[in-house]
Amino acid sequence: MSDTAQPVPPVTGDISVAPADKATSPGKYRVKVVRSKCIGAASCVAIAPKVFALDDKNLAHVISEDELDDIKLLAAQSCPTAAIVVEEIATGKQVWPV
Amino acid sequence: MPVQLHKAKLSEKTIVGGKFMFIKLELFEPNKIVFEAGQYILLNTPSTPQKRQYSIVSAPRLDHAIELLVEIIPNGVASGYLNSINPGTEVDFYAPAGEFTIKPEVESSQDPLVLIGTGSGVAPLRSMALDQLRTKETKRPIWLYWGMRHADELFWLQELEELHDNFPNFMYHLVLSQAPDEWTMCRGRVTDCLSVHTMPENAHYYICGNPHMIEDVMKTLAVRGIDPNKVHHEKFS
Repeated sequence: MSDTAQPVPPVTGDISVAPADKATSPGKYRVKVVRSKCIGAASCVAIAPKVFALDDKNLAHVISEDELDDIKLLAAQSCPTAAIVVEEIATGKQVWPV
Repeated sequence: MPVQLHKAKLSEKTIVGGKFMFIKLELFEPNKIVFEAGQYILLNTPSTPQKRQYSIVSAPRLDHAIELLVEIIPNGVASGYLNSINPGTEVDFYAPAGEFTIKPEVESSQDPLVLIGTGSGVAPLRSMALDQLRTKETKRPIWLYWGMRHADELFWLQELEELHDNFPNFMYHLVLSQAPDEWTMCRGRVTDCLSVHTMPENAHYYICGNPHMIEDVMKTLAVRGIDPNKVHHEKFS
Protein backbone atom coordinates (compact mmCIF):
# COMPACT_ATOMS: atom_id res chain seq x y z
CA MET A 1 0.00 0.00 0.00
CA SER A 2 1.48 3.30 -1.07
CA ASP A 3 1.19 6.27 1.24
CA THR A 4 1.99 8.76 -1.46
CA ALA A 5 -0.70 11.03 -2.84
CA GLN A 6 -2.61 9.60 -5.75
CA PRO A 7 -2.68 11.67 -8.95
CA VAL A 8 -5.87 13.60 -9.39
CA PRO A 9 -7.36 13.25 -12.88
CA PRO A 10 -7.67 16.65 -14.54
CA VAL A 11 -11.18 17.97 -14.93
CA THR A 12 -11.67 19.27 -18.43
CA GLY A 13 -14.48 19.76 -20.89
CA ASP A 14 -18.00 20.94 -20.36
CA ILE A 15 -18.51 21.20 -16.59
CA SER A 16 -21.92 21.39 -14.97
CA VAL A 17 -22.31 22.78 -11.45
CA ALA A 18 -25.40 23.63 -9.44
CA PRO A 19 -27.14 26.90 -10.29
CA ALA A 20 -26.23 29.70 -7.88
CA ASP A 21 -29.56 29.63 -6.05
CA LYS A 22 -29.27 25.87 -5.49
CA ALA A 23 -25.58 25.74 -4.67
CA THR A 24 -25.84 25.64 -0.89
CA SER A 25 -24.83 22.24 0.39
CA PRO A 26 -25.97 20.86 3.74
CA GLY A 27 -22.70 18.93 3.98
CA LYS A 28 -19.04 19.35 3.19
CA TYR A 29 -19.08 18.14 -0.44
CA ARG A 30 -20.07 19.67 -3.75
CA VAL A 31 -20.34 17.96 -7.11
CA LYS A 32 -19.59 18.67 -10.75
CA VAL A 33 -20.47 16.73 -13.89
CA VAL A 34 -17.88 16.45 -16.64
CA ARG A 35 -20.43 16.29 -19.41
CA SER A 36 -17.95 15.23 -22.08
CA LYS A 37 -17.54 11.98 -20.12
CA CYS A 38 -21.24 11.41 -19.44
CA ILE A 39 -22.95 8.61 -21.41
CA GLY A 40 -26.40 9.17 -19.95
CA ALA A 41 -26.47 5.97 -17.90
CA ALA A 42 -28.47 7.93 -15.29
CA SER A 43 -27.30 5.99 -12.26
CA CYS A 44 -26.63 9.37 -10.61
CA VAL A 45 -30.24 10.39 -11.23
CA ALA A 46 -31.47 7.12 -9.78
CA ILE A 47 -29.44 7.58 -6.60
CA ALA A 48 -29.58 11.34 -6.14
CA PRO A 49 -32.56 12.73 -8.07
CA LYS A 50 -32.44 15.96 -6.05
CA VAL A 51 -28.90 16.62 -7.28
CA PHE A 52 -28.74 15.31 -10.85
CA ALA A 53 -31.04 15.32 -13.84
CA LEU A 54 -30.73 14.43 -17.50
CA ASP A 55 -31.15 17.19 -20.07
CA ASP A 56 -32.64 16.92 -23.56
CA LYS A 57 -29.31 15.52 -24.81
CA ASN A 58 -29.62 12.73 -22.25
CA LEU A 59 -26.58 14.05 -20.39
CA ALA A 60 -26.43 14.58 -16.64
CA HIS A 61 -26.23 18.00 -15.10
CA VAL A 62 -26.28 19.29 -11.54
CA ILE A 63 -29.56 20.83 -10.46
CA SER A 64 -28.91 21.28 -6.74
CA GLU A 65 -26.43 20.61 -3.96
CA ASP A 66 -29.25 19.91 -1.52
CA GLU A 67 -28.38 16.35 -0.55
CA LEU A 68 -26.40 14.41 2.03
CA ASP A 69 -22.71 13.85 1.35
CA ASP A 70 -23.04 10.04 1.43
CA ILE A 71 -25.67 10.12 -1.30
CA LYS A 72 -23.58 12.46 -3.47
CA LEU A 73 -20.54 10.24 -3.09
CA LEU A 74 -22.51 7.07 -3.85
CA ALA A 75 -23.98 8.67 -6.97
CA ALA A 76 -20.49 9.65 -8.13
CA GLN A 77 -19.08 6.21 -7.41
CA SER A 78 -21.93 4.67 -9.39
CA CYS A 79 -21.10 6.57 -12.55
CA PRO A 80 -19.62 4.07 -15.03
CA THR A 81 -17.42 6.71 -16.64
CA ALA A 82 -16.40 8.60 -13.48
CA ALA A 83 -17.99 11.72 -14.94
CA ILE A 84 -18.95 13.11 -11.55
CA VAL A 85 -16.34 14.91 -9.48
CA VAL A 86 -16.83 15.31 -5.73
CA GLU A 87 -14.90 18.04 -3.98
CA GLU A 88 -14.56 19.23 -0.41
CA ILE A 89 -16.06 22.69 -0.30
CA ALA A 90 -13.69 23.99 2.38
CA THR A 91 -10.46 22.91 0.73
CA GLY A 92 -11.35 22.32 -2.92
CA LYS A 93 -9.75 18.89 -2.58
CA GLN A 94 -11.09 16.29 -4.98
CA VAL A 95 -12.37 13.27 -3.06
CA TRP A 96 -13.76 11.37 -6.11
CA PRO A 97 -12.52 10.07 -8.47
CA VAL A 98 -9.21 9.33 -6.78
CA MET B 1 -38.65 2.19 -6.11
CA PRO B 2 -35.74 4.17 -4.63
CA VAL B 3 -32.27 2.74 -4.91
CA GLN B 4 -31.33 0.85 -1.78
CA LEU B 5 -28.59 -1.44 -0.53
CA HIS B 6 -29.27 -5.15 -0.99
CA LYS B 7 -27.29 -7.99 0.52
CA ALA B 8 -27.29 -11.32 -1.26
CA LYS B 9 -25.39 -14.57 -1.50
CA LEU B 10 -24.01 -16.03 -4.67
CA SER B 11 -26.10 -19.11 -5.33
CA GLU B 12 -25.17 -19.98 -8.90
CA LYS B 13 -22.36 -19.21 -11.29
CA THR B 14 -22.16 -20.81 -14.69
CA ILE B 15 -19.83 -20.02 -17.57
CA VAL B 16 -21.84 -19.57 -20.75
CA GLY B 17 -20.63 -18.88 -24.26
CA GLY B 18 -17.04 -19.24 -23.12
CA LYS B 19 -16.65 -15.66 -21.93
CA PHE B 20 -19.78 -14.84 -19.95
CA MET B 21 -20.95 -15.77 -16.47
CA PHE B 22 -24.57 -16.41 -15.61
CA ILE B 23 -24.82 -15.31 -11.98
CA LYS B 24 -27.65 -15.82 -9.52
CA LEU B 25 -27.72 -13.85 -6.29
CA GLU B 26 -30.14 -14.96 -3.58
CA LEU B 27 -31.32 -11.99 -1.52
CA PHE B 28 -31.32 -12.02 2.26
CA GLU B 29 -31.43 -8.37 3.37
CA PRO B 30 -33.96 -7.35 2.29
CA ASN B 31 -35.09 -10.73 1.06
CA LYS B 32 -37.12 -9.36 -1.85
CA ILE B 33 -36.55 -6.84 -4.58
CA VAL B 34 -38.96 -4.77 -6.61
CA PHE B 35 -37.70 -3.62 -9.99
CA GLU B 36 -38.80 -3.13 -13.56
CA ALA B 37 -37.54 -5.21 -16.46
CA GLY B 38 -34.58 -3.42 -18.01
CA GLN B 39 -33.18 -1.96 -14.80
CA TYR B 40 -29.71 -2.62 -13.43
CA ILE B 41 -27.80 -3.02 -10.17
CA LEU B 42 -24.73 -1.19 -8.92
CA LEU B 43 -22.37 -3.85 -7.66
CA ASN B 44 -20.03 -3.28 -4.73
CA THR B 45 -16.61 -4.83 -5.10
CA PRO B 46 -14.09 -5.11 -2.28
CA SER B 47 -11.18 -3.50 -4.08
CA THR B 48 -12.67 -0.15 -5.10
CA PRO B 49 -15.52 2.18 -4.11
CA GLN B 50 -16.42 2.42 -7.82
CA LYS B 51 -19.69 0.63 -8.44
CA ARG B 52 -20.17 -1.54 -11.52
CA GLN B 53 -23.45 -1.61 -13.39
CA TYR B 54 -24.99 -4.92 -14.39
CA SER B 55 -28.41 -5.25 -15.96
CA ILE B 56 -30.75 -7.69 -14.29
CA VAL B 57 -31.34 -10.55 -16.69
CA SER B 58 -34.18 -12.17 -14.76
CA ALA B 59 -37.78 -11.01 -14.87
CA PRO B 60 -39.24 -9.01 -11.98
CA ARG B 61 -41.51 -11.94 -11.14
CA LEU B 62 -38.43 -13.57 -9.61
CA ASP B 63 -38.31 -11.30 -6.57
CA HIS B 64 -36.24 -13.28 -4.06
CA ALA B 65 -33.15 -13.37 -6.27
CA ILE B 66 -31.66 -11.65 -9.26
CA GLU B 67 -29.80 -13.09 -12.21
CA LEU B 68 -27.01 -11.34 -14.06
CA LEU B 69 -25.08 -11.90 -17.25
CA VAL B 70 -21.50 -10.81 -16.77
CA GLU B 71 -18.89 -10.67 -19.49
CA ILE B 72 -15.54 -11.87 -18.20
CA ILE B 73 -13.13 -9.04 -18.96
CA PRO B 74 -9.39 -9.82 -18.66
CA ASN B 75 -8.18 -7.88 -15.61
CA GLY B 76 -11.70 -6.55 -15.08
CA VAL B 77 -12.23 -5.54 -11.47
CA ALA B 78 -15.88 -6.48 -11.09
CA SER B 79 -16.01 -9.50 -13.40
CA GLY B 80 -12.74 -10.71 -11.88
CA TYR B 81 -14.25 -10.40 -8.43
CA LEU B 82 -17.40 -12.30 -9.41
CA ASN B 83 -15.32 -14.92 -11.16
CA SER B 84 -13.22 -15.44 -8.04
CA ILE B 85 -15.95 -15.94 -5.45
CA ASN B 86 -17.68 -19.18 -4.54
CA PRO B 87 -21.34 -19.96 -3.90
CA GLY B 88 -22.34 -18.68 -0.47
CA THR B 89 -20.20 -15.57 -0.68
CA GLU B 90 -22.00 -12.39 0.33
CA VAL B 91 -22.41 -9.86 -2.46
CA ASP B 92 -23.74 -6.34 -1.90
CA PHE B 93 -25.32 -4.09 -4.45
CA TYR B 94 -27.55 -1.05 -4.80
CA ALA B 95 -30.73 -1.39 -6.85
CA PRO B 96 -32.89 -0.84 -8.73
CA ALA B 97 -31.44 1.79 -11.05
CA GLY B 98 -32.02 2.87 -14.61
CA GLU B 99 -34.69 4.27 -16.88
CA PHE B 100 -34.36 1.68 -19.66
CA THR B 101 -37.79 0.26 -19.05
CA ILE B 102 -41.02 -0.16 -20.95
CA LYS B 103 -42.95 2.91 -19.94
CA PRO B 104 -46.65 2.74 -18.97
CA GLU B 105 -47.86 4.37 -22.20
CA VAL B 106 -46.09 1.67 -24.21
CA GLU B 107 -47.13 -1.02 -21.74
CA SER B 108 -50.77 -0.10 -22.12
CA SER B 109 -50.61 -0.22 -25.90
CA GLN B 110 -50.34 -3.33 -28.00
CA ASP B 111 -47.56 -1.80 -30.10
CA PRO B 112 -44.90 -4.30 -31.16
CA LEU B 113 -41.55 -4.31 -29.39
CA VAL B 114 -38.21 -4.69 -31.15
CA LEU B 115 -35.36 -5.57 -28.77
CA ILE B 116 -31.86 -5.12 -30.18
CA GLY B 117 -28.68 -6.09 -28.33
CA THR B 118 -25.13 -7.21 -28.85
CA GLY B 119 -23.07 -9.38 -26.53
CA SER B 120 -24.13 -9.07 -22.91
CA GLY B 121 -26.37 -6.20 -24.02
CA VAL B 122 -29.00 -8.89 -24.38
CA ALA B 123 -29.32 -8.95 -20.57
CA PRO B 124 -32.02 -6.29 -19.99
CA LEU B 125 -33.77 -7.39 -23.19
CA ARG B 126 -34.14 -10.93 -21.87
CA SER B 127 -35.71 -9.54 -18.70
CA MET B 128 -38.13 -7.49 -20.81
CA ALA B 129 -39.03 -10.39 -23.06
CA LEU B 130 -39.63 -12.80 -20.16
CA ASP B 131 -41.67 -10.19 -18.31
CA GLN B 132 -43.80 -9.40 -21.34
CA LEU B 133 -44.38 -12.99 -22.40
CA ARG B 134 -44.57 -15.01 -19.23
CA THR B 135 -45.77 -12.50 -16.64
CA LYS B 136 -47.83 -10.01 -18.59
CA GLU B 137 -48.85 -12.55 -21.20
CA THR B 138 -48.77 -9.93 -23.91
CA LYS B 139 -49.97 -10.85 -27.36
CA ARG B 140 -48.08 -8.04 -29.07
CA PRO B 141 -45.34 -9.06 -31.49
CA ILE B 142 -41.87 -9.04 -29.93
CA TRP B 143 -38.72 -9.35 -32.00
CA LEU B 144 -35.29 -9.92 -30.49
CA TYR B 145 -32.17 -9.15 -32.53
CA TRP B 146 -29.04 -10.44 -30.82
CA GLY B 147 -25.62 -9.87 -32.27
CA MET B 148 -22.56 -11.88 -31.32
CA ARG B 149 -19.18 -12.49 -32.89
CA HIS B 150 -18.71 -16.26 -33.07
CA ALA B 151 -21.14 -19.17 -33.07
CA ASP B 152 -19.47 -20.76 -30.05
CA GLU B 153 -20.28 -17.64 -27.99
CA LEU B 154 -24.00 -18.21 -28.33
CA PHE B 155 -26.06 -19.52 -25.43
CA TRP B 156 -29.71 -19.61 -24.32
CA LEU B 157 -30.55 -21.04 -27.74
CA GLN B 158 -32.86 -23.67 -26.29
CA GLU B 159 -34.60 -21.06 -24.17
CA LEU B 160 -35.11 -18.79 -27.17
CA GLU B 161 -36.52 -21.64 -29.20
CA GLU B 162 -38.85 -22.66 -26.37
CA LEU B 163 -40.06 -19.08 -26.03
CA HIS B 164 -40.77 -18.99 -29.73
CA ASP B 165 -42.59 -22.34 -29.54
CA ASN B 166 -44.66 -21.33 -26.52
CA PHE B 167 -45.33 -17.76 -27.58
CA PRO B 168 -45.89 -17.46 -31.34
CA ASN B 169 -45.73 -13.66 -31.02
CA PHE B 170 -42.04 -13.94 -30.04
CA MET B 171 -39.51 -14.03 -32.87
CA TYR B 172 -35.74 -13.79 -32.73
CA HIS B 173 -32.83 -13.23 -35.05
CA LEU B 174 -29.29 -14.24 -34.17
CA VAL B 175 -26.58 -12.31 -35.97
CA LEU B 176 -22.94 -13.38 -36.16
CA SER B 177 -20.25 -10.99 -37.30
CA GLN B 178 -17.86 -13.90 -37.92
CA ALA B 179 -20.25 -16.61 -38.92
CA PRO B 180 -19.11 -20.06 -40.02
CA ASP B 181 -19.96 -21.19 -43.55
CA GLU B 182 -22.84 -23.35 -42.36
CA TRP B 183 -24.56 -20.48 -40.52
CA THR B 184 -28.04 -19.96 -41.93
CA MET B 185 -29.19 -16.91 -39.99
CA CYS B 186 -28.04 -13.29 -40.30
CA ARG B 187 -24.39 -12.43 -40.89
CA GLY B 188 -22.47 -9.26 -40.23
CA ARG B 189 -23.45 -6.57 -37.80
CA VAL B 190 -26.82 -6.37 -36.14
CA THR B 191 -27.54 -3.38 -38.37
CA ASP B 192 -27.08 -5.63 -41.43
CA CYS B 193 -29.78 -7.90 -40.07
CA LEU B 194 -32.08 -4.97 -39.27
CA SER B 195 -31.61 -3.67 -42.81
CA VAL B 196 -33.02 -6.80 -44.43
CA HIS B 197 -36.04 -7.23 -42.17
CA THR B 198 -39.27 -5.31 -41.96
CA MET B 199 -39.23 -2.62 -39.30
CA PRO B 200 -42.78 -2.04 -38.06
CA GLU B 201 -43.44 1.70 -37.89
CA ASN B 202 -45.63 1.49 -34.81
CA ALA B 203 -43.12 -0.56 -32.83
CA HIS B 204 -41.03 0.64 -29.92
CA TYR B 205 -37.33 -0.10 -30.23
CA TYR B 206 -35.11 -0.94 -27.26
CA ILE B 207 -31.38 -1.05 -27.92
CA CYS B 208 -28.62 -2.15 -25.55
CA GLY B 209 -24.94 -2.32 -26.37
CA ASN B 210 -21.81 -0.23 -26.61
CA PRO B 211 -22.12 3.43 -27.63
CA HIS B 212 -20.93 2.78 -31.22
CA MET B 213 -23.44 0.00 -31.72
CA ILE B 214 -26.25 2.16 -30.40
CA GLU B 215 -25.27 5.02 -32.69
CA ASP B 216 -25.17 2.67 -35.70
CA VAL B 217 -28.53 1.12 -34.88
CA MET B 218 -30.15 4.51 -34.35
CA LYS B 219 -28.84 5.66 -37.74
CA THR B 220 -30.17 2.50 -39.37
CA LEU B 221 -33.59 2.97 -37.77
CA ALA B 222 -33.63 6.64 -38.79
CA VAL B 223 -32.92 5.66 -42.40
CA ARG B 224 -35.81 3.22 -42.18
CA GLY B 225 -38.06 6.10 -41.12
CA ILE B 226 -38.55 5.08 -37.49
CA ASP B 227 -39.73 7.89 -35.22
CA PRO B 228 -36.81 8.65 -32.85
CA ASN B 229 -39.30 9.09 -30.02
CA LYS B 230 -39.95 5.36 -30.28
CA VAL B 231 -36.30 4.43 -29.95
CA HIS B 232 -34.95 3.81 -26.45
CA HIS B 233 -31.43 2.78 -25.53
CA GLU B 234 -29.05 1.77 -22.76
CA LYS B 235 -25.36 2.33 -23.32
CA PHE B 236 -22.74 0.00 -21.90
CA SER B 237 -19.47 1.65 -21.03
